[in-house]
Amino acid sequence: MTRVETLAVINHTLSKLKLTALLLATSTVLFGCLGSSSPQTGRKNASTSGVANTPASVAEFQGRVLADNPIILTGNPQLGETINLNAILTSKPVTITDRERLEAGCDGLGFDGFISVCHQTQPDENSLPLTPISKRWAFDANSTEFLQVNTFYHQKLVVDKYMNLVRDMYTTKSQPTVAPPLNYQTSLPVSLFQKNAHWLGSRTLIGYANCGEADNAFFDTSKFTMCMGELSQFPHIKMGHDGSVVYHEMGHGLTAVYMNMRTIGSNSNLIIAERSNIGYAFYDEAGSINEGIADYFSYYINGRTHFGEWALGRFLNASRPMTEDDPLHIPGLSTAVEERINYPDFINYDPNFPDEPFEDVHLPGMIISHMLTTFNNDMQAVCSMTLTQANDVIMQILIELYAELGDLSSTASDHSQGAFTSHYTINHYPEYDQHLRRLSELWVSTVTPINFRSFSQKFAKYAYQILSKDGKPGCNGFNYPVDYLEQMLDSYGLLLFDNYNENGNHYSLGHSGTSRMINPINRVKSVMISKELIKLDDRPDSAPAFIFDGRADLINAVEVLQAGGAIKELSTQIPADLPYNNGNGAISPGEVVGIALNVYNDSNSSMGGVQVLANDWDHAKIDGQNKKPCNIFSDAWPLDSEGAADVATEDPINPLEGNCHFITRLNGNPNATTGGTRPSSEPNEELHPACFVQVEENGATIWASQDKLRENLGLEADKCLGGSSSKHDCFFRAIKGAESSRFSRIDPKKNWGETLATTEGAPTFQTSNVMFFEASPDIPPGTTFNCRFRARFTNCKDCYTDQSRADLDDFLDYEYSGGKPFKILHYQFVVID
Amino acid sequence: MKQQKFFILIIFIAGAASILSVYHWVLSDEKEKQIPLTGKIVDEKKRTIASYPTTDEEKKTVLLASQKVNQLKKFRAKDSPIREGRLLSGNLGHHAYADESLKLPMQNRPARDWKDKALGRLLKHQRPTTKVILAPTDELILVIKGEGRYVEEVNVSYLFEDGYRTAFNALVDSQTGEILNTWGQVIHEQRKRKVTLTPTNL
Repeated sequence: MTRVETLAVINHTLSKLKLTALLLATSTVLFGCLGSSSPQTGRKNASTSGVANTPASVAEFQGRVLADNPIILTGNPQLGETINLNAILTSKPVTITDRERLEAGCDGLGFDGFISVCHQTQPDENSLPLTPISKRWAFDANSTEFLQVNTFYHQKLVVDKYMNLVRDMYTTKSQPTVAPPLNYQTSLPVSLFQKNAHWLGSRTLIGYANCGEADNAFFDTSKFTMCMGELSQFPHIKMGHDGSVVYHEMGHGLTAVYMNMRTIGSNSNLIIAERSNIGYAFYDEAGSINEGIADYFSYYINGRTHFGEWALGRFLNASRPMTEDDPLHIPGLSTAVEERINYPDFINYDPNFPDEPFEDVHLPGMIISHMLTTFNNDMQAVCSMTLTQANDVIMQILIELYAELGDLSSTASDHSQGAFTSHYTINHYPEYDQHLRRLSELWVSTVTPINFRSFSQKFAKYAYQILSKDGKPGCNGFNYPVDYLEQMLDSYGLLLFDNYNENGNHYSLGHSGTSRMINPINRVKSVMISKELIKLDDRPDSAPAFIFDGRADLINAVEVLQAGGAIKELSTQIPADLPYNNGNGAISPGEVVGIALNVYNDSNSSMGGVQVLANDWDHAKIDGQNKKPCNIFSDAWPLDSEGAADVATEDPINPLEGNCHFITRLNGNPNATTGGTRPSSEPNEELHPACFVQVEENGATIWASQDKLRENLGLEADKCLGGSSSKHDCFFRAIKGAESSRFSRIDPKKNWGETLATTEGAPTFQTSNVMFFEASPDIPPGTTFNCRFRARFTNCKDCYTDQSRADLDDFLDYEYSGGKPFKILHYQFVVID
Repeated sequence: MKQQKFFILIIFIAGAASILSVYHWVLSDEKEKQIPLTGKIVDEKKRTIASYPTTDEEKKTVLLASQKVNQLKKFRAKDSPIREGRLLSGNLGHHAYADESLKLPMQNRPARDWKDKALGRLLKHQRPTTKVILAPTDELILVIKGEGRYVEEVNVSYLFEDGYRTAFNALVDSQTGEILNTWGQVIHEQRKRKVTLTPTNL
């Protein structure tokens, strides 16, 4: 039985007992918070015997809704599927909308930013939008009409709360129009409302209340739509009946808004068509963090520390807690500092199936959601805030940090270089390279993607600036002690940075200006590991890498990667139906092949967020007509006698452009606009593919660029995998968009498979665990390649921080084009037909 | 005058219809016999790719209504740099070319069949039962190093036989249909489709 099947049918008695206790606690809270709650049932503003939710029973523009999900409203964790929803409707009608459809506008600021329809709800694609009856929105609670009204109501709660906050930020809390910045260096763009960047350029968010998706709800960021499905086992149970699920999906939508505020609204005089993604792979930490944030949206609206009890939890066992005190958790967890869940130990922890470590994007997000609810409580205590006030501060921090992290204009703030002037502070550089890919987008997606470290660092940066700096008003006139902030992050294993990096990552100014260091005494639970302790598994009977060349597997993988937008097209040298793939466990001419390095954690602590990169980097030197590998990196490869570039005349301290010691400031981009405040042009700086090839030259065997092999074979350049313009990866190349593999966690003295092994054996590989390559049909069998992959992990001591600097400042963005922030791992193979 | 107004109305309706049209292409299969085809092309592997009007069920599955609402072209900010009716984007300095008296050498020319070419590429690695729907959302000129390139912004949806769906946004070359860049994805609460890969070297 698969895990998915198990989800659908297993009756978790223990979990349900725990849930009962949770509901009793929740009932108490509700009774305390809501005047209309019943102490016997924990019902939240619900009528006791059911009401006739008819037009005659409500005033104009009103209707009744489910104030929360049916489990909370009934106080019954064992609630059956035959529930009559009419019995738990709000006793008092609520205002829905005065429009003729379930839609609402978003007010901007003055004349700017007004959007006449910023969100709407309809049943599905083909049905006409619902219209009111005599201007009233009252329908039988078991009807599809009611489902739409209920979904819209909860959707609108999220939008209204966000709009009030972002307006308050723009006019009072953040004030991007004031220079120098009044309170802190906000990432909100001055043109936020003028360019409708507060709402993704004024697109309309559509909520499909009854989209028919089985056992699922989803947010389609490409279309800005939310799909609320139903249970396959009980199709009358709808996701839209559970407000917390609506909040979660809306959280994805609003995070997409936050991520692209600067991309759309920055003053960089640059129109950017692309948008930042929330996550880029089947599993990655950016997507995981976003799941935690989306869960927190539920808490943000309803103040409850559990999400999805009815639609996801009751019959699918897929609800999630947001506090360690939740009875769904395993014993031993509590909100006490030393008993909290933490990174990376709880990355694969599912409270619904605690004995089965699992790699799923939703699970690590719980570390974030738990951290946020704890921080909320701390702020209430220290700053004398209400729950709502603390929630608004957290959402303010999230808006600021996502606007910066997702910024494809790279400027981070309209004031990053002073009043109304900016330089490239984050995500490197916003211009297209020769492959028509915007470098900032490449940095966000692949080179420096959002992970638990970057998220925590930016969270701390804005929390510090808003709450902890002297004279700042964020903490109700108090200063939230920065030690508390760091200790709180550390209690979740998230104090993964050495400084707040307020000075950013600009190629020449990134080490100038303020960069507050953390107090190292505060790092108790957060474990940092040297990159030298990740290596290939060299134990007896261990393979250095896993090879995937089965035809059916690779057809499936290419199909899904293309359909997900990750990869575009394969080389025209590779037939679309992959006829060369022979499944022989070796790399053969003409194959599309997957490689997963068998990485091993040689430390005594768990590693999280392991990433292996096969993308091009600056590790070769142009030497006449050839490109030769540089041996100045930590791997000291290759030897001079094996074809290394000559570096004898280079000055390692002040290298010249074109030297091995010089790392390109432009990612080898000949298309970049250069000069002035931007880096100078670098005609001799090119990136090189990860893989070199062994060739014979003057009687010696050397490692050379693949173009050398092409020349030796007399192969026409247009026969190369990338055509005549891409000769250095003529025979074996990483597929762009699939050139990175990720492993969620690796335990000490183990590899990934051992870490996630269950009683059923080792975990299966997914596309996100594997790097994909093309092998030319023209490779002579027996040819040897050596690929120089770069590896890192999130809780790495020296992958993001330049340990050679006294201030432990972050590496600058351009340095990720080189080898310094990475552990270099070699994989050598012989092509076998 | 009346005639002129009527003519403008006709032009407007025709323009709107072309903007809102969606293309639904599949590798030729038995559906050809059931549904009237509206287009047919042959890809580079001599496979026939056919189009037919999107069914209601398919529209429902890929959430097409949002595409009609969210035509990006109509949401361009009022001070957006425009040339030849297209949004200017690219590297720094592209704004200057909103002045159409400035010469801008172009690397490509828009082709009428760019959609067909793009759809052929999008289906190249898919099985015959997979359908792809391409909805244009905006038209751009990318300016890079003083040269322009006509580009289409589109929304791409895939619909698999088992009901699984994906979607993303893309920039597409207006001449060759080459997919240049992609972003946006579907975030599922419950994952429906996994590709399980089995190592072959063990």
